[in-house]
Amino acid sequence: MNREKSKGFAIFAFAIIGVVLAVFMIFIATYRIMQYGATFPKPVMSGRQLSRTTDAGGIINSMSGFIWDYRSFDMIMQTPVLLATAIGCTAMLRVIRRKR
Amino acid sequence: MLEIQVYIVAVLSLLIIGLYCMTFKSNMIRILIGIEIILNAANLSFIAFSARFSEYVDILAQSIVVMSIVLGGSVIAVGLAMVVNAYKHYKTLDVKELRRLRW
Amino acid sequence: MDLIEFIPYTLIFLFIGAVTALTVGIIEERLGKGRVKEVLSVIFIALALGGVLILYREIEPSGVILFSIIKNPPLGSCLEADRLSALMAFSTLFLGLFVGVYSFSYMKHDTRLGEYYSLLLLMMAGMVGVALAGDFFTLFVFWELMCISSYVLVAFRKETWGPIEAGFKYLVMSSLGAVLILLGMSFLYGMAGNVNFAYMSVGINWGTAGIWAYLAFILLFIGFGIKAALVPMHTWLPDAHPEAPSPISAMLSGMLIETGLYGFIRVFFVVFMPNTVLLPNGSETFKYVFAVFAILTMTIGNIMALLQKDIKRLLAYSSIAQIGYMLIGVASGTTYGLLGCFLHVFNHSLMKGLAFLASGALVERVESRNLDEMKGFGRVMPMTTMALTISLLGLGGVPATAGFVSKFILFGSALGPGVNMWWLTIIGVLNSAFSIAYYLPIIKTLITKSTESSPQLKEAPASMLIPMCLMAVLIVVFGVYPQPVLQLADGASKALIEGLPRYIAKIFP
Repeated sequence: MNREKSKGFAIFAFAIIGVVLAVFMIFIATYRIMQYGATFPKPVMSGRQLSRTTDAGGIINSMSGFIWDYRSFDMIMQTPVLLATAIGCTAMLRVIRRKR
Repeated sequence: MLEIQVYIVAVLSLLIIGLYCMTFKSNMIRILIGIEIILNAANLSFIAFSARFSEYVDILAQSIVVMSIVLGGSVIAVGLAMVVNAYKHYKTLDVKELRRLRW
Repeated sequence: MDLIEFIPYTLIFLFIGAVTALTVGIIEERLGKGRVKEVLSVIFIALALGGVLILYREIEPSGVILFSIIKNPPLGSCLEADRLSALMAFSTLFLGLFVGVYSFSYMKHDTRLGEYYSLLLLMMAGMVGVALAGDFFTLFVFWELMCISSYVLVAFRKETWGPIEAGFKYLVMSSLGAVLILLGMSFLYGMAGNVNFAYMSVGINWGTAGIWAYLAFILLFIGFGIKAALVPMHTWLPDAHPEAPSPISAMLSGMLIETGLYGFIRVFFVVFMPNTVLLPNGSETFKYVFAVFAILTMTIGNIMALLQKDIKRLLAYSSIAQIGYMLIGVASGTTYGLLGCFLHVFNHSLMKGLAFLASGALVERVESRNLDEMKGFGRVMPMTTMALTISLLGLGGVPATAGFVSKFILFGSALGPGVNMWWLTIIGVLNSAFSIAYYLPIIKTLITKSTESSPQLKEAPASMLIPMCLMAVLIVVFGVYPQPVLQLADGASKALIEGLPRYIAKIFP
């Protein structure tokens, strides 16, 4: 009984020390990223599609227009992905009763 | 819009939370939710990088996020179909019971 | 305003084939009989293979061709095909043709076959799309198509507990890899402003990128490495491959993990590699990282394979070791090393595919995967055992098989002029010799005379024998006369390293 209690106590102590160390390292990592992250590079080349954020009600239309103009191939290729999901789910969830 | 490093810290902490959820939880559905958390981290990262400029927004990233939500949903659908089948065999949702495939 | 220089016939035929196989499958299931869907799917795979040959003909003049609709890259999504993409698509469909013919009688007694064939065709469409993609997000959409189909196909025989457990572990690890790829893609997008490969190659300010480039590299390496079964991210593979049906094991081990490796090679050699001189300690770091992972993968794959008694699990660990050999070619970074890598991709798909198909035929007749229960059955099934022997000798790198040629080029590339990694060559050769130690006992177990005889064992049916014998003949032919495949792989590796300015000039003329 005493051995079990001391073993449980040792595991408990290790867990507490591990959690404290992990939280401490997360704080240090956050501080370093906040210091260092100001140098995240800005893109080099210009000529990108930008849109004003003050377009009230216009951003949804311009986004749909953007997707159908520039990203239509990705949108069309999502149809086979949804087809594969549907076929996969019916294949996994169907119950076939064989007549023996 | 705050500076970019705040958002990077948020993305990396969501990544760590998602990895913790996938590693240390034993319920199968919680593991699938861990995948969703990391997917949300990636989506947040796209949106944060798209809004770095004052008074303009880059809508390429936002269209990528719209499409990636659909892909994440289908992966979870197939995963849940597999969880239903696993429950029929093992009668439990504990992933520690899925230990019969050894060596 | 379109920029259609080629039409992707391959993808069109595979998608039409998937829908057709599903509808015909539903009709035949109502009727209760009929084998039309198998024949239709094999016809569509053959048509798609013809589409790849047309693609090769169209790439001939310029080397890179584009396909995009409504608006142009770099902002629009595009398919950019060069000789490397064509080689990966060709390998996929070549193996897929044999797998389709083999599944004719292997899956005869299974239910839900309409879904099986349509998912097989969709998985192949996903793999071809990953090879052809010119934009990172297009690659991701096709990647998810390939992954989702493979999750369901691994867990296809859901009546027993084995495939479900293996399928769930595979799903969790592989989708973790996919979302890590998305996270790495987002960091590269933040640095570049666009997700096009050619744009990211020239549009990143590497001087100020510093640690963020390394972070994106680590995320992409882990994400693609989970799918490519690099150690220590390989743990899903020895569970998923034995439990999947044998033709799907052949497809998984023959092309799926190589497609993962291809994705990583494409991203690394187009985006990171030309600019490594601008990163602090750039080029040396990457070479040594790849070399360390190559050694780790080869060694652990070979050692773990020695301890297995299950034939398909042994072949699964052997796949991990073969990916390690391919990483040696990537670590060298030269055109010669990548020639060995791509040649080994094609040869390994043939050899490992044949090994899984032949062992599947054995497992189906013997009703068990354990090697100890297969004593002497080689004498009852001579052609299957002969095919298995040829594939195992090829995997071990015996001369006069295709495996020898590609392994020779791979191990020789680490000794090249700019690459002084003689220790990598020595460890590679030792591992290759060591792998014979677990291939030969399989052959020995099969051909020893056994005391008991089981009368119900016959040779495998014809539709399983024909693809196996054809693949065995091809392995020997390509070992003695490797010129055709050498030319294909040579074009592929030159298109990646020396064709990079042409690749970028397509988007920014």
